[in-house]
This record gives sequence, structure tokens and C-alpha cells, in this order.
Amino acid sequence: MTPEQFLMLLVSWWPWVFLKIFTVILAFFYMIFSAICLRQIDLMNQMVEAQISPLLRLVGIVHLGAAIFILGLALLLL
Amino acid sequence: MPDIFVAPKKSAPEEKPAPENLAPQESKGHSLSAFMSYPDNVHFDTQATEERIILFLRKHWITNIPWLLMTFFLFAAPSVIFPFIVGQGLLSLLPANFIIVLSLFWYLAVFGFAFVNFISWYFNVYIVTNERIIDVDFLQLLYKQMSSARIERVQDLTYKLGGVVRALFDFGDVFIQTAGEEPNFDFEAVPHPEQVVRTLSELTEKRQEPV
Repeated sequence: MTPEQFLMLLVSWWPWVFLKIFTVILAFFYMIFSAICLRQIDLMNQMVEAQISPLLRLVGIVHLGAAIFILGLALLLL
Repeated sequence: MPDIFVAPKKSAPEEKPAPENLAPQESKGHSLSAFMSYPDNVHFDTQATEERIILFLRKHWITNIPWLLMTFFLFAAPSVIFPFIVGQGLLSLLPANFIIVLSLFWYLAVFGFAFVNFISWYFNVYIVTNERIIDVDFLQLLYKQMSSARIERVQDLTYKLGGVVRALFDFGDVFIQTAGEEPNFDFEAVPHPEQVVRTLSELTEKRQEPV
């Protein structure tokens, strides 16, 4: 493949490549956000403890798990 | 032989009556209530052993309506937008895998939006104990602040209840001015502000009574 052909291929594919990278980065940052969310729930549960605290923590863990799952899916499928 | 000195019999020490504000009261409200009085199942980390929570307040649940509505619209949005995209033939431009990932991500992000709003409401609390008042601010995940002042430092109490919705659902703002350099408190949109002010005044009066 000549450099010109490679460039043409890149140009014809760039929106899709860009979209893929954008989705993966978005999923990655969402995972960071959900991790911060879980950490804050832990900290706040220590500060103000109530009956619902373990349930909130569980929801936070499920949220983080779903974010990791979607990041994995984005890396595998796209 | 007559006794010269007879020591008086020691009587059992009298039990001191508990202060009125520590007397057991009926607990009202559950974990998700915006107004809890004498809650049994709530504790905070700087709570002293003899410190008792008298009021545990959050913003009135009606203040959650805007983000609840937004969540509903965001959940419903794909079912409105998708038929339009299919009708225009735009869907064929994107691979099926991408549509799956994007749809899942969308619903997760909407759930995340609702969850963050819920925990912001849930952890933004105002606590009145028999010793002090505490304001825990938890705004949009990254901002957190906790301020407290002793009950005897409270100088002025005001509440504001204005507007149709606030009058209908009986919620408003309570402003608490404290002496010295301690921060002033603003309990925003708390249910039954009149009752909050009354409870706080009673506590303040008890604390400031000369011994």
C-alpha cells in the first residue's frame, strides 16, 4: 500500500474511527465518574449513616459494574 | 452503752431526671423522609454518645420533581427519536454494534443522572441535635461541606414560606443566625419550617436559661 492509498483509506474511514475512539473515551470517563460516585457514597455513608446506606452502596457498585461492562463492550464490539 | 455518734444511713443516690430534650420521644419518619423527628436509625460520624438527634431534615421531596421529569423525558427520548431516524434511513449508516453500545450507554447515563441527583438530595441534610445544629452540603458529587454550631450560639431564627407550591406543601427556608464568627445557617426548602423554628427556639431557650 502506497502512502497515498493509505491516506485515502484513512480519509474514507476517519468518521468511523473517530466515532469509535470517541465512544471508548466516553465510556472510560463514565467509568471514572461512576467510581467517584461510589467513593463519595462510601464517604457520605460514614458521615451520615442510615438504614438505606448499604442499599445505596450496592446501587453504586452495580452502577460501576455496568460502566465497566459497557466500556468492555465498546472495546470488544467496536 | 449509748452510742455517742451514729452515722446517718446512706440513702440510694437519687436518679437525676433526664433533661426534657433528651427524654425519649416517639420517632417519626423513615430513612427517605425529608422530615424526621427523633430518628432512631440515623447516626452521624461526629455524634457524641449523649448527643441525640432531634430533627433530621432534607429538602422537601417536591423539589425533586424537575430532575425526575427530566429523567423520564431522557428515558423516553430514544423511543421518540428512533422511529424518526429509521424513517430517514439514517440507521443504516451506523453498524448494529455501535447502535447497541450507544443505546446501553444512553440508558446508563440517564440512570447515572438520576442517581447523582438522588444522592445529592439524600446526603444534603440538616441535623438538629440537643447540642448543636449541623448543615451537611453535598452538591453535584464533587462539592461537600459540613458546618456546625452549638445551640447556645443561636441568636436569631427566621423562616420564609412564600409561593403557591410552598404554601400548598408546607415547606420553606429557615435562616439561623449565630453569634460570633460561626457560620450562619440556611436550611433550604425544609418541610414544616414553623415547627423547625419552634423546636429550635425551645432548645435555645433551654440552653440559655441561667442555672
